[in-house]
Amino acid sequence: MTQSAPSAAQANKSATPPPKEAMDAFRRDIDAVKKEVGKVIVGNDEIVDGVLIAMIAGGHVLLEGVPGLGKTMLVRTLARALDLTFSRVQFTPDLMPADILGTTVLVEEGGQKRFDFQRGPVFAHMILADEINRATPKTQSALLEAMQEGSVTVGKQTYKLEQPFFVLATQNPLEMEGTYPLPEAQLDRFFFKLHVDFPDREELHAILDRTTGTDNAEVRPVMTRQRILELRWLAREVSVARHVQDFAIRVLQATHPDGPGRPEMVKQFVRFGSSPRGVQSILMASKIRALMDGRFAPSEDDVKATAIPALRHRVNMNFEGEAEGIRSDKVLEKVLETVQKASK
Amino acid sequence: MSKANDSPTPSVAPPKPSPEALSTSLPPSPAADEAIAKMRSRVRLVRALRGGLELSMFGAGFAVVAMTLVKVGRVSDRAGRWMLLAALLFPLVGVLVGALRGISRLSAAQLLDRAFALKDRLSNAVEFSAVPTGERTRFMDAAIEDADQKARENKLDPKKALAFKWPAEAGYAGVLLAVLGVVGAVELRTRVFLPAPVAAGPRDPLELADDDIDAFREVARQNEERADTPEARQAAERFRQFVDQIANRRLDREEAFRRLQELQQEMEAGRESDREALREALRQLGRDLQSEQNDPATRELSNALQNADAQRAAEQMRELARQMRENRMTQQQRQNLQNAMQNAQQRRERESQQMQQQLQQMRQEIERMLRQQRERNLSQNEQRMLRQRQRDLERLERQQQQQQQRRRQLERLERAMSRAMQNLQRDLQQAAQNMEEGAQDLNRMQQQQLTEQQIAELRQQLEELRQRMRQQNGQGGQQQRQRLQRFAQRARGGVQPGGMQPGQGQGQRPGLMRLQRGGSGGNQPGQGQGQGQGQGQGQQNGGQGQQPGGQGYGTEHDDNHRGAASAAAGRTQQVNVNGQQNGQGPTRSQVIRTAAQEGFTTAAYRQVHQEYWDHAREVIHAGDVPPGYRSYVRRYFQLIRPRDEQ
Repeated sequence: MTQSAPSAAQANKSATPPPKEAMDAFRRDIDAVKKEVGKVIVGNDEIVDGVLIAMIAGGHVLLEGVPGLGKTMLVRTLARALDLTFSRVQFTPDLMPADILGTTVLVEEGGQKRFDFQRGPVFAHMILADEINRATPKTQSALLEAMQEGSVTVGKQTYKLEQPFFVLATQNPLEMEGTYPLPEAQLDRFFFKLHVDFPDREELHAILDRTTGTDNAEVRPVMTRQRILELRWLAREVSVARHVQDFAIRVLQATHPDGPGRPEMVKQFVRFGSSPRGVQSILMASKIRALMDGRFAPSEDDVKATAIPALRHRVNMNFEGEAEGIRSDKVLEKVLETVQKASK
Repeated sequence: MSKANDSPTPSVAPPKPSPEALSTSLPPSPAADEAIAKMRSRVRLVRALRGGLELSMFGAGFAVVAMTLVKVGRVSDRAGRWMLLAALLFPLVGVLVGALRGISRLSAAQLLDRAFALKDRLSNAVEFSAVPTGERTRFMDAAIEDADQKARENKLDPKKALAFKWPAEAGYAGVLLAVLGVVGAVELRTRVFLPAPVAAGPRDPLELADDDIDAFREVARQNEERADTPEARQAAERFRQFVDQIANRRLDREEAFRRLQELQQEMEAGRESDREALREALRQLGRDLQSEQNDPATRELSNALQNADAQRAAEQMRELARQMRENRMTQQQRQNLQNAMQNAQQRRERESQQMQQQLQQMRQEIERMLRQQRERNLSQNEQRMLRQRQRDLERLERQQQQQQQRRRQLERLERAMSRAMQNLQRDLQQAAQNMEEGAQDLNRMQQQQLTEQQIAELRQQLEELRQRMRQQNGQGGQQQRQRLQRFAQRARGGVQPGGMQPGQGQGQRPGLMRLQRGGSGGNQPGQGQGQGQGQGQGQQNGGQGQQPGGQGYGTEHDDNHRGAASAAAGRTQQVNVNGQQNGQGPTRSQVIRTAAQEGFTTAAYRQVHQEYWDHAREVIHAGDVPPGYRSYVRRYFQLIRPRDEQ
């Protein structure tokens, strides 16, 4: 998550509206985006909220779900509503880093030959890395610098990526053969990991109605790139009460097998817990969630709501946990329950 | 996402407010403050109630225990009241602890947030309000204002936030209180242990000297060992118990004499008459046999029976049986014996019938006179005659009773003699056997006479005990006791300050002991050969002493324990020996004992004592010792009696 503050926002700091007005505007903009996305995407409100929260927080999202659930459509729609450039990269085993980052080519212009860097698909505001686990680790790691630093280095030349830069990667949990699971270091770069659930019956009706008819929903851009940066800055202004922050820290500590306040389940099935990036993600997401809910400070409920998507890919199960089929979500639910009981 | 400290965050988490700030910070807003304050009061109230109810269970339990202890008497009523008061302190302490236990504003705000789904608005506002105003961000202020607004919009009723729930302990406390009521209502039967009454002994117990007690106990023990009949054993046992009671000082003087009298009466009751009846029966049997004593075979038997000598009579009967068995008895002798025994049997039957007739006549006459008395007033002569007849009847009845008693005593003997009489002419062997049986019966009588001797000795001991009791607490009182103590000391050979003179040879005639009273002279060394007991006993052929007997027992002794041999001529060579008193050497009693054991030939002291005591008794019975001094003699021999350990 890059932290490049918008210069316009900093310049107009003195003219910042009161928190109440800023929060109302925040909520209006978010609602507008969600409304536009809702024209195309049926249901999946939590996925939409999660993606918006991660984007506003400056993070990236790892979407996990079976093919055909509208992941690509979600990203494409979102990019269109936010008026951002969008790139889609289908990760395959033979995909090379240059295929993502770009490459230097020899260009003859005016009788002179020169090397020119041809930018890859990473140079966009929103990147959809489809089935990212099918690429080799070498290719996967090509995204590391872009995701963490917001820049791309090719040869001796570093190229700054334009903000907002948002990577949304997907992976199929079913077809694991011939895949390269993301290493922990790369997983840690993702702000959220969201599970895309299969739509229910009503949602399927709506999907069929929209996609098999002649109606073609037009998604309008409702938010500018500059506004996204302002919202990102606004979210960082939100203060967190000590007891809420302490609650988030205790949740983080409880994910470690040897951490204080851990439940027995963590000790039994967890190999290692979340890194501090996890609690950073929790707090940032809690702030944005509080603003989206019309509050000026996050609560413990916000922490609980954002803890699972922020930590599920950061908690590594041990052999026993893997053998027992214990999912990290279940462990985190136990952690939250334990910490909640202890805080009462 | 970069590290947090790398990011130029315009707002970071506020500094952590101190707990004091959280408790005493300014209210975030009037509405929120009011709600939080009410909540805190509510929390205190609920805690106080819960604390009181929870501890009331322990208080009730304690009260039940206290009440139970009071009811069963393990705890006094006063202590029980204090314990019940202490039980009341339990819920009181619980209430106080619950009420005074602090609750932070943050905790109260969190309770309200959770109860009214305020999503931590109040708790966030509490924390933000604790941050100094200059350090607050605008979002902090906005959060505070938001909390105030929410507090105003929602009716934050603390009762909804914290409803009172009855703790489980309250139920137990209720049950225990019910038990307390039941226990308080029930009157348990308690066992009260009264102090055991102290056995009250006599105010003025009869006290005998330890020597006397020991002596009587020894006599009692000897009597018990020698007793071979139930009567003798019972008498000895009673005597021993009586001595034990005196030794334990459980009898006063009056009670002791009463018991002694009872003992003597029991011992005498019927015993003398039985003995006399037996003797009379034997004499009568002897007379009956004597009337036909033409034959010398029965003469000796008759004489022995007339003398009531059962032992000799038994020997004569055995002699007769032997003659029968050896067929040395002529037909005439047998006939004479048979006639004698038959006459004796007939005479006894005749006497019995005569007495029965007399009794019958006398009863009829008395009955007639009594009938006349009922019908008319008898004259004085008639009344005198009636009384005379009644007395005669009583006398005759006594005689008949004695006669029957004699018959009982000789029943087996007469039966045996009757069978012998019948068998004399038919079966001499059987007759001899019958005579043997008669002899055995006479032996039994002889044995009974021996028992009588033991009882007689016991009676003698009782009499001595009576004497001792009289002397102990009697007329002399303390002075008498002191005198007896001095006597005992002198008897053991102890030094008596004053009133002691050395003994001097006397020995006027061998074997005769003569005791003389001690004089009042000073304490002087002894003279002559042997002193004290060693003098005048004539066991070493000592000559007649030329010196008058000393007044008192000797206090010195001969170291050689034996006096020099007296001259055959009987002239006593008098040697003066100065006694030495250097506080060394054996005690006087040891010396006397040694002298008794070793100084007189080789006779044991027990034997010597017995010989002397027998002699002393003969002297006493002969009347040579004045009655007032006989008890001294007895006591003297009692004090110097041989002990078991000697």
